[in-house]
Amino acid sequence: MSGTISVCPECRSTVALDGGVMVAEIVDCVDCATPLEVVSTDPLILALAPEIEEDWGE
Amino acid sequence: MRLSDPLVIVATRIRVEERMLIEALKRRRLPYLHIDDRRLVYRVGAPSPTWRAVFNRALAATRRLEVSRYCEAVGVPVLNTAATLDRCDNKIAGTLALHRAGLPVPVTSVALDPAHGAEAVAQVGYPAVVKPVVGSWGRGLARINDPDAAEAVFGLREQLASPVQKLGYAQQYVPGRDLRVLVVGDRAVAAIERTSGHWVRNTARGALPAARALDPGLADLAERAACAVGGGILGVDLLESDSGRRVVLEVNGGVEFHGLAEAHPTLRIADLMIDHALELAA
Repeated sequence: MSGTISVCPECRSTVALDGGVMVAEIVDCVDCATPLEVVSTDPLILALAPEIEEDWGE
Repeated sequence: MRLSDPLVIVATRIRVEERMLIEALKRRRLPYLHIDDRRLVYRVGAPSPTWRAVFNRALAATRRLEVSRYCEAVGVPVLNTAATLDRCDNKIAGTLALHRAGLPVPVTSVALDPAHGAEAVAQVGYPAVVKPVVGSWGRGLARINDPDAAEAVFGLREQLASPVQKLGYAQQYVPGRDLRVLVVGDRAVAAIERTSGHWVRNTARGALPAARALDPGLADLAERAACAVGGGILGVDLLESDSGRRVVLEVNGGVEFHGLAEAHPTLRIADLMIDHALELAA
């Protein structure tokens, strides 16, 4: 896998993740604390994580 | 089905639980596939996918049900079944199923319109807990100490757009220890007690899990509760009073087990789940 550095879509800060990150994981931007969803690992692409909906959960 | 067919994890997010499953599948060199339920599109009548079995880990109850419905329609074993999820993801259905099976549940009343929600609360007495019929992680719970508070809560509910959130579900407030038992197949495998400074004790809200001995009575109660909703991989939530009396609160069909794994670090939870899926697929 390549590309473990991306840009926060909220604040444009650089986000660096370790190589074991998986698609569909949620990470927080260290600068603005926005939850981000990993939508691709190669290249690393991050998107704003979707809001929790009323029927989410166990 | 061939042994080379993948075990499929349908998941909205890769959380601790999904990562544990994936790591166990990798360790056992079992082929697997992750599918995001939000991207699942199928044509009715198209050839069935060559999936060995499915772990349905969709986060939204609405999509979770559809995932299982689809898997069953195309003959793929799925955990959990649509019938089980139908009972677990709706608190009214769950409580009715538990009660019908003769299991102890808190005194519960239901009102089908928020205009009569306060009546349901009065039926169970004060203090009561009003819960959303659909939803999880302790969201939207309200402890009600008097009729005025009940009226206020259901007044707000009436303003919500979702018809499901307008349903009234009230339970007697039962003080006691908060227990979670994980059931895999027909066997209770481990238990935890959750503690918190708040009366809502979901680990999603910061409650701390601690290992709890799984005595035969607790195991039996959890296994019967799991059976009452249709069985599968389930998290049974119970309350235990100081006198030892236990009531079943609910059974979770999209069970999260990060707290249980933290409290039982040597228990191979993911392997137990994989073993069960392989049994179903055999």
